[in-house]
Amino acid sequence: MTDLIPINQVFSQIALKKLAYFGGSTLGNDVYYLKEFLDMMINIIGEDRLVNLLSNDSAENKSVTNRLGKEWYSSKGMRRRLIKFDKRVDDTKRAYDTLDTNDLKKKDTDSYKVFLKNAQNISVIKPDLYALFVFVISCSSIQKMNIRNEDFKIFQQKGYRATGELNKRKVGDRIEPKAGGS
Amino acid sequence: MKLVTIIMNKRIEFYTEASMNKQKIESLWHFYSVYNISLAITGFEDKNIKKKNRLMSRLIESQANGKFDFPTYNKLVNFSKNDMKVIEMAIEQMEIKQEAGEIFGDNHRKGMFAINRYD
Repeated sequence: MTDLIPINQVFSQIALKKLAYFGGSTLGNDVYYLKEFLDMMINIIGEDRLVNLLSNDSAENKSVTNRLGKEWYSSKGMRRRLIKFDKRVDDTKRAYDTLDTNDLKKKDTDSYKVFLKNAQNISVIKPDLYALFVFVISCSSIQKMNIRNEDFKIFQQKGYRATGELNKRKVGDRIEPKAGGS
Repeated sequence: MKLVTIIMNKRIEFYTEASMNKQKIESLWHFYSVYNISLAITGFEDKNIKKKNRLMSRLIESQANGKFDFPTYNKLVNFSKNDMKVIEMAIEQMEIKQEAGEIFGDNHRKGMFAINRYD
């Protein structure tokens, strides 16, 4: 029996943001955020502890998770594959960042074509990666948390809302009284 | 597993939205992302993974070259009709777990013992 792994509130918030970006994007850009989330969670949980948990898992998907745990440090194990996977995902993310719009609606630009060329190198079905993803969520305290709806739509709209309307007064500045009185 | 359910539901929403907007590749990508999670939940084994990955890669390449490959797209859509069953099963499984959680208390992964605590 293992205790459900508690995640610090700050890390939970960061993890939820990454998951929202993962949920809201496509064509390899989502996998970049998935990979970031996994890297963070592996560091929080601890690699050895995670391997131990994976090897002793007894849920429905145990054939995959147990194999992942047992082969983690081997030459074809998940550890090596995650490191190799980094480069491909980084290329896709770099290509995505050069796009004019976040919502992938301008399809005839050169940058969109470069983005697609990178995306075609990433396989759409990755059972091992997603098994690890579901496992990491299910054994940590973030499984009960909620993601804000706006966070999912960052890539559909034009990023974060403009902050132009905010009052940019510095904290220590004195507010000058109006000439009319009150 | 509330969080996984939220992500799956949102992905399905985006999948529907993209297919309504005729964003064929994006909608398929969203669909197969949900499928990936469903495989991890149900523990099913897909024997056509390589084939589907190759088809998707070819489809993306065709879009990048400016000539959308409709036969490949149709093949993937045919695959997706069967794959939908796995997604349905995963959602059902999650709902059952959630209902059981409401009646008997929180339902965690087998072998995981949870206590409420404040960090």
